[in-house]
Amino acid sequence: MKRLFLVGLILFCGAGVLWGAGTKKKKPLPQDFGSVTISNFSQQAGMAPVVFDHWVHRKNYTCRLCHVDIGFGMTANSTQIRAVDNSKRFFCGVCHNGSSTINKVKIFDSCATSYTREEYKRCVKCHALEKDPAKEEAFYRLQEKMPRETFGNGINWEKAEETGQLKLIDSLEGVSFKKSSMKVQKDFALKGKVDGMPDIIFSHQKHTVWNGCEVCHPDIFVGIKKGATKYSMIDLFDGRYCGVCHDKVAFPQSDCKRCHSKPV
Amino acid sequence: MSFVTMKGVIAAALLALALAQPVRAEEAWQATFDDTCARSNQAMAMSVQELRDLLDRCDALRKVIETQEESVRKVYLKRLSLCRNLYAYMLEYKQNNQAK
Repeated sequence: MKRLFLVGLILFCGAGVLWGAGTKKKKPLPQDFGSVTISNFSQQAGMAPVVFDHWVHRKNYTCRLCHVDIGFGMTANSTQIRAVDNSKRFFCGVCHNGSSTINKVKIFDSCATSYTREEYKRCVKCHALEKDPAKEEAFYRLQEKMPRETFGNGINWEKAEETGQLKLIDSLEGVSFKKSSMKVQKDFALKGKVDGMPDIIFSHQKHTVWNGCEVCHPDIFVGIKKGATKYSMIDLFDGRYCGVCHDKVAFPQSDCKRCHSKPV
Repeated sequence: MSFVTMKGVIAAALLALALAQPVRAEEAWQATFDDTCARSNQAMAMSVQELRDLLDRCDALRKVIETQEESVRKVYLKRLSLCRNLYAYMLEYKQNNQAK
């Protein structure tokens, strides 16, 4: 009886310590994986912060288009977007301009300096903290059609792109440059630091489809020569290097075999 | 055509020219920007001199963009820094290789 009480006490205290220290991160729901809350100026303007869903956008566009050609930063709130930027057709306003279309559907307009009660419904499409059941349903409709994955938002985006289920737009008239095709670097292997863990196969080919060069070099990866940038899994889980995208938008790093994939 | 009408036409033409010039100037820096940063795909294959020239162009463009209105400045300074950093990164790599 005494031993049972002691075990119970240890478990209770242990759970309390873990809860108090906040070591257990809450896993986002599949439809919320990759959501970013942008709150620079919205609240000053009496609006809710913007909740940006990556899945809505990445099913149509490459990361590069938004993070290079349109100029969005790689971390929440770093871009300092104002409503006036959008109404001048920069940032969100590049596509959300009331006339652009995607898959023959008109994209709703972004910010306006003044709006009617009716138009306010458009504002809360982005400035919303409450869950939108219609959006959630749209996510599950998309997920059903896509190759599945256990982690993240349950979609294997890489496979969807490879198999042609996603046809990504990488340039926009009037925004993107006309670029010649790129000579892609070969895949290479990185040695795993833990015994028994397969080596990592890094594919430039797979990454450049979505990102081009500038998203990663030199802001995320400074070293050019293989092995020049030293990092550990702790750095990655801390949101640096691969962790800038993986865990946040791209598949989570807990999905070990996606990177540690070299046959043993 | 009377002298007064003629003067009016000349004044209108001069005004139109004056208004068109800033637009042309804006187009000029944007064309330079496009031409400079559109080459990032080829950065790996460029010579040290080509990369140095592109960096000089980026620095000159930065000065022009800094004089633009806030939204333009925000977007284009970010875009410029991405391509400038890539060129600088490649230049460093090539110079290190030459030194070896």
